[in-house]
Amino acid sequence: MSVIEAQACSKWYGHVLGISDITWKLDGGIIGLLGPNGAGKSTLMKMVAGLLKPSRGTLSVFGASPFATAAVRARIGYAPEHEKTWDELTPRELVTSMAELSGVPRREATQAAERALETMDMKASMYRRIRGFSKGMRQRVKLATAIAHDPDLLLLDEPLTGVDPMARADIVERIKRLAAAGKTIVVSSHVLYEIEALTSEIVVIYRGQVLAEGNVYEIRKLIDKQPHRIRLQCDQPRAIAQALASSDHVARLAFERDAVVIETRDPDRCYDELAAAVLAQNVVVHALASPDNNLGAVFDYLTGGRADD
Amino acid sequence: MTNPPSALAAILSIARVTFRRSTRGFLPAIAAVISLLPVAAAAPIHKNGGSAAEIVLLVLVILPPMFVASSLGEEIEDKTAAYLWSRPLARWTIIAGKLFALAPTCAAFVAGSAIASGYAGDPSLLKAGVITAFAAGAIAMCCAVAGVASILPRHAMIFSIIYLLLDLTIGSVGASMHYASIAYAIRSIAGDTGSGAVTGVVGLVAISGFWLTVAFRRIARLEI
Repeated sequence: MSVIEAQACSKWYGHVLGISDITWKLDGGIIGLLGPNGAGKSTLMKMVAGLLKPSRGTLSVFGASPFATAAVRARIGYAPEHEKTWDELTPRELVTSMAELSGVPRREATQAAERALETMDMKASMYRRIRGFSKGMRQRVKLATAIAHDPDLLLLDEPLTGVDPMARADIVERIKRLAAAGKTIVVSSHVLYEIEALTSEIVVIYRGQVLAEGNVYEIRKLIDKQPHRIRLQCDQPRAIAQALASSDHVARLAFERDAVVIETRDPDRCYDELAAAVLAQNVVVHALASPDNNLGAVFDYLTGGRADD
Repeated sequence: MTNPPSALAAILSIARVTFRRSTRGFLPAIAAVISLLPVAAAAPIHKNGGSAAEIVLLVLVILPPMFVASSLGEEIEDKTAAYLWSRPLARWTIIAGKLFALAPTCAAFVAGSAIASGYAGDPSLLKAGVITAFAAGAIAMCCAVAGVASILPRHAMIFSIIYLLLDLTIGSVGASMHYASIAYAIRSIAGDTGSGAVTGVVGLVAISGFWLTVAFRRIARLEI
């Protein structure tokens, strides 16, 4: 039996299509739902969590409808996308309530909550009101509410949004530990590197449809077949362009204000040559970025440029 | 892995957390101020031959929406309802749990308002039947507000107040449609109408039952 199975599943909000005819199966492990804002990731998450029911098609979790079956929802831990929680409470009170409402007996709920908060490194702050917490702390509390009842399936909707880099690395590590403990985890994000830090298995969602599914590196390889753009902001963009102009891997050179944009078919070679040129000509580099190194490039490639339509 | 909680455990758990949340904001203080408003008016109204009960009825129009409609509406508005909806609960227990915490609180404020107004100048409010009528009416109005809020969760507060004002109006008309009014049932229990206390009790039970049925059915289908 699959953990999640969607068959021709669609969801409309009035006339607006949230999810369109998705057929998808998840048997276990940790998987990233990747897509831009409004792609349908949260709608899919909510349907799996039992907050929404499909307008058409079927969606089952552990073999039954999560919307209609409480026993299925007992096996799911859901951390929603939005930041707001019951701010009047302390993390200990909130997580204890959530554990109780998930079926943990009352006498054990406090212990379960404290364990979950410890897992998320929030035990030191568990007696403070949530109202004064930073985004990172709120994310940790949300994750604690999701894991307190020891669910088999964790649904984490944008768990790294608004979190500083240090906290992000820490939360990623803790989520990975949960996956290593045998949980099936679905994590959504619109940022490729956040997902890459967590898992190599991704589902790319765009306009309510599954565009691609598989290993993130395979998808990267597809992207790398396309010319790769590198933007170097420096004090001598023309000198850099001159040094690279004769290289056969360079497809195109363009200038922007104080910057040169290089399109290359061999990013590794290009970065090597770029570094050599910078050193040789004593160029002062202000910024180096790869506009392709983000989710936009994935969608541009997979949709053949329709992503901006 | 856990089993879903029983309905009773879920109701008690939701009631506990709802009560705790409701006591940690400005709500109790605002409710206390509103409950005390009839106190100021009780003596002058009574001197002029009127009854402060009418002012206490206005308190009844304000407090249930403040407690129940805001509790349900804000959950939807702030999207915190996701925490409850994703739990393995029969969804009617969410409404039942909230009412279990908030309706008695509301009833206590209204009864307190009647008692304080009685001591402040209108002794007719100090009768046990009158205080019981207001407390029972507050609970019935909380049930009605839960029903309205389940139909229109995003504007629960305003529509609940409109409904309860309409209820007051219907309760004042002479035609038999006043039997559909909570305010009329309260007056009947208090002995202010010719219908008798039993009619009032039956009315409150019937109206509460109707709205609870609406609320439970709506909430079971509500997607968030």
